[in-house]
Amino acid sequence: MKCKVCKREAQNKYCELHEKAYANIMQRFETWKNAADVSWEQYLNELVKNSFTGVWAKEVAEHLLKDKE
Amino acid sequence: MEKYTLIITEKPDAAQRIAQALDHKGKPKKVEEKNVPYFLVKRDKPLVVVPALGHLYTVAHIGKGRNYYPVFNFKWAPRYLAEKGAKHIRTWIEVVSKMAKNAEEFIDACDYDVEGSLIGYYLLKYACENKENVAKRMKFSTLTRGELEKAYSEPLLKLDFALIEAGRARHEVDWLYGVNISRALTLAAKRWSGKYATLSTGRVQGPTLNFLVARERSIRSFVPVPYWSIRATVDIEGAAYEVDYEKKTFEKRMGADAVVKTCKGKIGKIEKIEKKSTQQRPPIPFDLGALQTEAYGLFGYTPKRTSNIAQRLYLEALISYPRTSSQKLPPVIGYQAILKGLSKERSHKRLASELLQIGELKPREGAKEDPAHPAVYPTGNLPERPLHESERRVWDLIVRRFMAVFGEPAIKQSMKVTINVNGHRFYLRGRRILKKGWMKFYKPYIRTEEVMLPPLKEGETVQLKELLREDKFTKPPPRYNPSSLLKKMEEVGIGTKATRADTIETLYSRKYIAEERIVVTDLGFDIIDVLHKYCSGVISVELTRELEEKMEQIQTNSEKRENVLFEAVERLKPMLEQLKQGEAAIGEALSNAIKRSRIQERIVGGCPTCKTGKLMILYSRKTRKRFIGCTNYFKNACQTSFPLPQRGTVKPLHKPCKGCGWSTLLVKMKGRRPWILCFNENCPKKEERRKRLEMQSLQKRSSK
Repeated sequence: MKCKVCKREAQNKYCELHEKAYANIMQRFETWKNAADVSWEQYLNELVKNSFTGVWAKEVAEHLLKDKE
Repeated sequence: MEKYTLIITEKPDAAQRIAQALDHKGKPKKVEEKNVPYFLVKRDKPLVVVPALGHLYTVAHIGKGRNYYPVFNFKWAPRYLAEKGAKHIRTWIEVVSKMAKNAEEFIDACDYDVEGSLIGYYLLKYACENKENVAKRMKFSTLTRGELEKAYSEPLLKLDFALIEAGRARHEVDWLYGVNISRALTLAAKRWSGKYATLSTGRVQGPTLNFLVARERSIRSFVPVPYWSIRATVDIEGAAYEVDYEKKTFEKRMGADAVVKTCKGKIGKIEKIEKKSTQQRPPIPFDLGALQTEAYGLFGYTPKRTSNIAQRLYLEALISYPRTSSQKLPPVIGYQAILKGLSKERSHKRLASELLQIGELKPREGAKEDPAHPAVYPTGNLPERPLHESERRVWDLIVRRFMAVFGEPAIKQSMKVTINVNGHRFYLRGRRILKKGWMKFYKPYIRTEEVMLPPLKEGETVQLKELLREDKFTKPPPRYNPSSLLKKMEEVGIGTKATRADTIETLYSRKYIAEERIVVTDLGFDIIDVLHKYCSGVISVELTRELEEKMEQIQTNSEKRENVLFEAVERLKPMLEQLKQGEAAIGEALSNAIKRSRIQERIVGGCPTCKTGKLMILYSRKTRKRFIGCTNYFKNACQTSFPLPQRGTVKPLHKPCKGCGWSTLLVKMKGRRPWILCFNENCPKKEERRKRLEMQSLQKRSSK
């Protein structure tokens, strides 16, 4: 299986590197929801815009947004 | 020819200094033979001081060829036999051998540390034909006349063999790891792609790169979380003072909004004023790591640069031996004499004289010790030539730190004013120095600022001037820089004070890392991936640290070099077997990484025309000439291209042009100074230059 983002070898949807970023995105959503009352989509958009978001996390967020479309 | 004593030093500069110190007139005769300098010294008996040129012997493989591994059989051989570009070493050794023939006594005066001991040992053993057991040893920490005279007249009667054994073990273990694993990686990539690229790793390099990769991974997969804080100022006698809200952060926006709503425009009452005085003890003397960290923080010098500058200052007898891990300054170095020497220099005169007034000088010291040398200190000698700016800065830093350690504790006072605004508390903080103590000696290098507050009383009221909610996000862990990486290596105990800075430089030169705030390249990631998968031992801090500890035990005669080598080989064997088994997969992964890295190196920046492609250095298929083109060219989507010089080397700088903001390149040509090229034909800087040149030629014509 290939990673949906970078086409590296992957066991699931993402390679080992993007999988970690994906796990972080999933884990932090609850905190964002409680703190700023944002929807899943708003959350992903915020991550894409934010300068502190890591490159891999941004790539996964962009992929998740595209996937939804 | 009369018999003489042969003194061997580590470098030509040290030889000159030692010869000057030992010659009865201070003017030894310099002789050059085949470009190798040595010095004839007149004293009660004649001396010849001959320098090495750093290591003249190295660990080398017994056998031919480089295209295989494992290799476990090695010997110490002259560098000219083992390394390309070391031909001059042959003449050097020949001259030392010639001088040794007529010598009746031998003294090793190389730096008193692992490397220096090894340099002297192998010259005495091989170039001087087995004189290592009869040679004496000069031990000194500064190249000042007094200390050199003493080291010469009271030498150690034999070499420090424990130190030599530790050095041999370190070089041999590093060679075993470095050669075998680097060959495994290089050959795997070469066999897969047919192309050669040097890939290296080693016992210290591997774990160091591993820290960086771990940090890079957490930065790249970082997801920030929002939080909020309150920013407020109060007005006191027309001036604005920043105050902190009692709760530093809010996890919900609503919480911060509620504070703003309740307190905005309100008047606060001073509830409490607390003052606290604290003592701050003087800093401890510099060991090499602390000097490198301080010089990086203050001047931005990389650890390697600081180490090089310190070495030059040492060779000019301005400071003591810098490659030390000691934080101690024993009285034997002569505090008074050093300060007297420093008091002759205008910029240190006042402070040095002030310290000389103190009856008993007692430095504050740290816990770390080094059996060979004290902490870094100034010798009290003054520069004999104008120092370069960077040398002057590092020397001044060492001088001031030396003086500061003798200073009294500084006394600081902090003040906390609690202001109640509508039931919410804000804190106004001030700090000032009541007694400077050691700080006056270290003044230009102290980074704390005083915050003076006006006179205030409990019960007084103040007006909240500004009150805002600040939207913030958690930040990813900071990137390492060369200095913080060196500190991390020190903390976990890998490498030595003499080699850590070089290890970091190697990571840069191999292109595993880039930039000052260190970014790991794709190649760096792939190297660690491969090592992690096939020989995780070589990136493990534990293994490296264990070996380091054992090598230190050799130094204290509690472990044998042979045992350490045997253990290193036993650990290495299974790793190499695994690397061999996975050779095809490793070759593919590394070849792809090298390919990506080479493409990356050619990228100049974003395309200013189509905005979606990237400008890259490309080669014409027809003429093989190079030019800059857009990556969308091959999709027929963008025709942007720019010409490039065809001679010399061209390298993207990744820095924008000051005139137009376009990307720039560094061009290097033989016989010319490198220059920065902006390829934008309409760059205003080019226009300026054109006009300037025109003006100059007009002026020339009119003057004719």
